[in-house]
Amino acid sequence: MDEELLSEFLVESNENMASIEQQLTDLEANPGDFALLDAIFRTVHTVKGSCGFIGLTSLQEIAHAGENVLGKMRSTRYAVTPDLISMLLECADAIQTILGELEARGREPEVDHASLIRRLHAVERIIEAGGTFGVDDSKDAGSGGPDANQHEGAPDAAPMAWLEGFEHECLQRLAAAGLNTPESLLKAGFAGLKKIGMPPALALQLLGTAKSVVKTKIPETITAEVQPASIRKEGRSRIKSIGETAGGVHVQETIRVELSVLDSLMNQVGELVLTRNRLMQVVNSIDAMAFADHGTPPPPAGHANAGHLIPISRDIDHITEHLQEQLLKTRMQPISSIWGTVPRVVRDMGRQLNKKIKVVMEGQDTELDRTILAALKDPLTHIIRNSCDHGIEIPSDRLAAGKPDTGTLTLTARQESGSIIIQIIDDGAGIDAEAVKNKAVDMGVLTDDTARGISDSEALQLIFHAGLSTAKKVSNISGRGVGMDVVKTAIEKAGGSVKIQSQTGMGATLNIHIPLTMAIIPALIAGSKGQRFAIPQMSVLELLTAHQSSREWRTVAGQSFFHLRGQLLPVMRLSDCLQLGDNRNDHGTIVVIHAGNRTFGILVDKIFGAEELVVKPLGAHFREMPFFGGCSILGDGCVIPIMECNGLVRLLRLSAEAEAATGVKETKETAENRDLQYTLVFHGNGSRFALPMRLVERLEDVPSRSFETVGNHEVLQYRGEVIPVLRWNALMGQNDEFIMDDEAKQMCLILADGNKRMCLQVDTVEDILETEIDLKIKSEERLLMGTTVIQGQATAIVDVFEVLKKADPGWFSTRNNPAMDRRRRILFAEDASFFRGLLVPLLESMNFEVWQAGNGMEAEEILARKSPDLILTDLEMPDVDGYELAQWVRKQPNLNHIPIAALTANPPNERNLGSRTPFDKVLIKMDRSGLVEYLQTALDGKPDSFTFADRSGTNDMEAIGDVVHG
Amino acid sequence: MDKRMSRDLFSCRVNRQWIGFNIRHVVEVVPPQPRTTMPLAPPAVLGLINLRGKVITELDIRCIAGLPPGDKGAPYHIVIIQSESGEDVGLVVDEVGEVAEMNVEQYEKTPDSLPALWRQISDGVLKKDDEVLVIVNVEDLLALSLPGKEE
Repeated sequence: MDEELLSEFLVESNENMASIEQQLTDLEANPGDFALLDAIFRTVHTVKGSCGFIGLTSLQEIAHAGENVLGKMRSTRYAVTPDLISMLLECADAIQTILGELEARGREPEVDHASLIRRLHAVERIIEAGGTFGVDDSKDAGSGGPDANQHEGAPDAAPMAWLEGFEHECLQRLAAAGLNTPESLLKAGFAGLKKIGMPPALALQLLGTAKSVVKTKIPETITAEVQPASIRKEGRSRIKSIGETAGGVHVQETIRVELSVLDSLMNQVGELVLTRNRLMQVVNSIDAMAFADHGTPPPPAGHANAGHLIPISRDIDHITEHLQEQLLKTRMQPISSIWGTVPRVVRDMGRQLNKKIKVVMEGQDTELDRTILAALKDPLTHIIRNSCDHGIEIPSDRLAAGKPDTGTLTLTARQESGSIIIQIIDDGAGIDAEAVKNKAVDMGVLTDDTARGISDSEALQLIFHAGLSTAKKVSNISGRGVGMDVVKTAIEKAGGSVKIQSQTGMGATLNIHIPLTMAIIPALIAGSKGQRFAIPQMSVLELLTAHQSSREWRTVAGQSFFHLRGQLLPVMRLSDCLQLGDNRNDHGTIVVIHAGNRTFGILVDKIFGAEELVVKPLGAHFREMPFFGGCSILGDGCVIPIMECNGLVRLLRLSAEAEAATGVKETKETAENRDLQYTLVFHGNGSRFALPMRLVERLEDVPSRSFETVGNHEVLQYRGEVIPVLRWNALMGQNDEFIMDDEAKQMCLILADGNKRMCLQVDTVEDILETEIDLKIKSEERLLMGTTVIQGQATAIVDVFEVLKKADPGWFSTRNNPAMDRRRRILFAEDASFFRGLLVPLLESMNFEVWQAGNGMEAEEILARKSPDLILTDLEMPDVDGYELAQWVRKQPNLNHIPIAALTANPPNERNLGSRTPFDKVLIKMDRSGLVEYLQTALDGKPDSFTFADRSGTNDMEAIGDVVHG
Repeated sequence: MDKRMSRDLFSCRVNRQWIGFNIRHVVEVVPPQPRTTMPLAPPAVLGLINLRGKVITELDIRCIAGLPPGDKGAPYHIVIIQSESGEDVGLVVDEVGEVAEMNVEQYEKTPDSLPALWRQISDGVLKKDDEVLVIVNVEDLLALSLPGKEE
């Protein structure tokens, strides 16, 4: 057999067959879609036609049998039934199996398809009988077997296949006479045809066709060697005709490239990236030397061209980045390439389980690296099977539960900052967290105590534990207790993570987080005991600065914890995990990691920065070390191990007591730490400044060329918006004479307030830390609020609202209520001068008269003298707190009508507020838009029901995460 | 003698012992490279080196063969060896000898007098004058350095 011809045939057939499952399931959904039926018929017809030429007998037989059925369906406009589709799918499977074997071994497999072919023939006759004609032919259905075998795939019962183009009526007539095959037709001859009332012209035409068909059929093997030329010709003309029918439509030009070529290209580019990193390191050191030397790049050692080195290396930097990006794109494939089989899987499952399930897919064109796609295929299939089996209920149960009888399985995929999020959602029975817990206890996975201690959401994650399956009965599809742990392992191997959410009765959602590519990953370079380690950014949630003396350290049952936003975060020292030597130093940076469904901290001495790393495998000696994911080469040429966070989490062995402490809210602590703020410390104009992190949406390194000037103002295009740019040094009165290189990166803080944004350019960002801001000295400077001490250093606090107003004088004006005729009065009780300083200007800018009180006692004194339109109070204050203040107000007959809003740094939990709250509203500090909105509605006389204005509960985390990922 | 062996041996010295590898396995010999030590690695693993963009595990033959550790700062060479599995590893030796055709007349089976550890990795010895060169089987040597097989 001609190998080239075969491979051409395989490529073409695989392409044709790839869509057939989808088409068949679509046809099942729309039985009346005859255009679709035509398309399916043509596909099978083409496969059969091509394989006939290269002597693939068993493939031809099976394709032919399928084609006949399809042809009959087409001619009789037969309404498809699920059974029929099943059989056609089986036929498509058989074809694909043969194609697969041909591809792998170059020959047809020795599988006996006789029974399938027999059944296809039978179906064909049934269709025929059901279509127009009576009982005659259906009798043959039973004897179809021997018949089929005898004819070896000869088109004995396939008028449609070889009589393409003849009138329906004529075909019916032939079929009625039993003249289905060219042989039988030839045998009947002109006379025979005339006898059944065929017009002579048509009879002659029929005989001619029959003759030609019989002729091409016989020399199957003999002519095989001669045929290639002709099939190629046909192949070409076919392609041409497709091009012609496509008309003026532009066909995207593509070529096929061996995957191995792409892989080796990828490796080469990986090396290039590493070499680039090294080059940049050398160049930067030259650069730094030059600046140390009076700011002029010296021509080192007589090389007149050395000055060109820097721009050239920047070019290389850019080109490399571009090249890497483009090459990554070539390896990307849409997720539809693995989702294509889902409708089929679900359909088969539904029939097997007597369930009605429909599939909805969104984001099918989301692209992923092909290696990751390959790794995802099996886990996804397993999850889908699981959802169909355990998730979606049988129709009667669904109806009883008030749901439509057809269950819906939704698959979505979308890209989100360098990773792909895949969701598999079913609207089935959901998973009962209690049942999972009980099972876990039964299986000895959990103790009774721990089971009681864990939340429902945590309990659900136990389904990924080996040996747990909650299915009531074991089916042959799933429920054998193996599976979900395998799914999890497979996904984690591909660098991803998986989590499940479920609500009993409402269904379940599986969230899969997966990186776009594994070849090159962004990683944090951390140092511990003089050694460097890379931590993939994918797993990093945020970075925390931890001092030895920090009040946030706790020790429970020998395990260190760090108190973070009211929760206890277990922290491991990297030096302990890796036994780098005994070190009780608690000073350094905590890298907060989420991996293996756990959040934990890794304490390292130092963070060097972030780098794009090309992942290289580790040798055989590291096979049993799950906490190393690979290694890479840094800019200085040194090898750096890459930590595998999912493996690292296994080193975290907490005692039951420590386990119980994890994540537990420390309510008392929350009260104590109420004034801790995430604060960003930056440098500019030679000094140190700080501003609240809540207002910082993102940190960006912006190349100088990105800044544009409009009129007198500088602007920056940011995420499709044009935002004003302010330079901190200029605001502080320093004229920036420094002419920057076009490519030089400038550190920018993107400040966001509501839907408005601005860019504040600063020299450098030093740190983001959680600190108490206590103004020591008030500032005369309008843009500054005063000075505080952060980490032992005097730091000026930026008055962000003034900066925003400076960027856009109308920043807050849209929120002002012009209808406000009288100046409204607000009593503002707040003990922290920082917050008073922050909010009073805002309130004043909204045209409120603000009476300030340092605590509840002072507030009561003021209220005894005069009554405001609204009371705004901090919840936690010394002596009389906001709660007591509000209760007191409610008891005063002359005051009890005044709306009271509470301000709190942390979202309150229901337990300490309850329904008997004296507040009209609880607002989150720093959520200015929530405050402004509330003030406007409250004072317009519209009563507002009690709601938590918590629109920013998670923003903190996201903001910091963004910074880390940015 | 093992049929797989070609006739050329690459000889080098570890501690005071001369050993020979089948030249087929030897890729190249490189001078000391900046080394990244790997925490919790098996004892024979000295660390990782970057050899022209390829990351190679550096192994200490002294440790594998139960010899006393070498002096700190003493000069050494890294013999890059390719294992059957295709992975390149670096073996640290004190001195590099020569590539010599194996003289069949000097060949003797591994003597029972060798320590057990050495008998595990030896394919025989060459005796020349008073010196004994132990022919080391690379695969056996590597197998011994893998985790869980230090025994």
